[in-house]
Amino acid sequence: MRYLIHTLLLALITAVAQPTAQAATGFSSASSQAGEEVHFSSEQIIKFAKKVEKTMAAKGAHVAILARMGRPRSELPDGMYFTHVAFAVYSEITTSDGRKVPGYAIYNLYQQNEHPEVSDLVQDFPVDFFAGVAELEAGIIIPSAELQKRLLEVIASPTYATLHDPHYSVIANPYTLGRQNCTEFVLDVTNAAIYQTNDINKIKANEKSYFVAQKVNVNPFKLMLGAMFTKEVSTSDQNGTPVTATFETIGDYLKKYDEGSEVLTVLPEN
Amino acid sequence: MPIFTQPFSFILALTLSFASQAFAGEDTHAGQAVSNAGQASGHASASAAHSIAASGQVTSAAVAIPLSVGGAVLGSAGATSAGAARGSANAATSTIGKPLEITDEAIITAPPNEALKNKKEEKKI
Repeated sequence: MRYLIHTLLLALITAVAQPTAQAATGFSSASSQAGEEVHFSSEQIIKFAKKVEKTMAAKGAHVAILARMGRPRSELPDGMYFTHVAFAVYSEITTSDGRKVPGYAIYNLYQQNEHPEVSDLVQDFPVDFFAGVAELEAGIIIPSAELQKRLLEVIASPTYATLHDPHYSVIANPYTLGRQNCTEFVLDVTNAAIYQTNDINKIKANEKSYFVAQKVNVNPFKLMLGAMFTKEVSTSDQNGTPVTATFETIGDYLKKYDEGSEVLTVLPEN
Repeated sequence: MPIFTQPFSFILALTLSFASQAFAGEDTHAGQAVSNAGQASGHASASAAHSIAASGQVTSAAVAIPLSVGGAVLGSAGATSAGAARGSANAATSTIGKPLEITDEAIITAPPNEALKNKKEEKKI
């Protein structure tokens, strides 16, 4: 009998462990040096990244909001689709051999590898950005010409770094201070540009008034465990049902208030 | 039973993995971040970035300066030095909404040893 219980227990653990272990690798796949999974060939990533760049360039975008799928769609809660969002900025790039070429640089808020509850502002390039994706699909928001001009001014100013809060939570509440994730940072920078201010309290007040965040539809038990034991999950900035900013909600916000903005999806074959 | 102690911990760990993966964030990058005022010197040390870098199909770069709509090269909180970039006149004079010229090369973040070879241009007054 004891043997049977142990066997059943092990079978249960194995059954649970299979998808979990796989998915957990996916969770840290783009940052974990040891556990990262490569889902696509170098050729596929390079081709796709260049397609995304060409799509933005064809639209004449000096600044766009770019999103990737770092985890399979099936693992994401309802209402969430893309997992990481950043600014793509048309730039003059100096290659290691000293040539200057035009292209896009990506301005990210990334979690630190060793301390996932802490973030840094990091610039990289589209190939880096898409290197570890789970699916080849990109979301692009192209703001209006006026907002692009204002975004460029913010990104090129000290305000950009001042708006960064390194205290990271994967479900950071965009209406409050104390925790920030990539989407909240993008939203804050966007509103700094819209309202031409570096006053974070003014930015938050406007976000509370006009931005509609995504409810985090996660089992409260999982959320509680996550907040208790997972460093990058914090509910300290949440009141009631957790909410967070997503690529989709930022897209909805700009479509509503930034006339002329556009939301696109890029797939390998379209 | 001692045997239950270990599986319990294991199940707890798995539950936590489930808990953490249930969220949408994935603010991670293909390499170690070195953020010096946002400069692009996170090195491509993760395996995906490594394999792409090793493919020989990419050009590495460590410096990117935003190009303004009016044509000037902008300084940036996310880049190194405004003085580091000159030229690219066609790209720099482009206006928003008009198709922009981009390189056909696939650019990837340079590893630190290559980034160190890039010297900042001295500001000329």
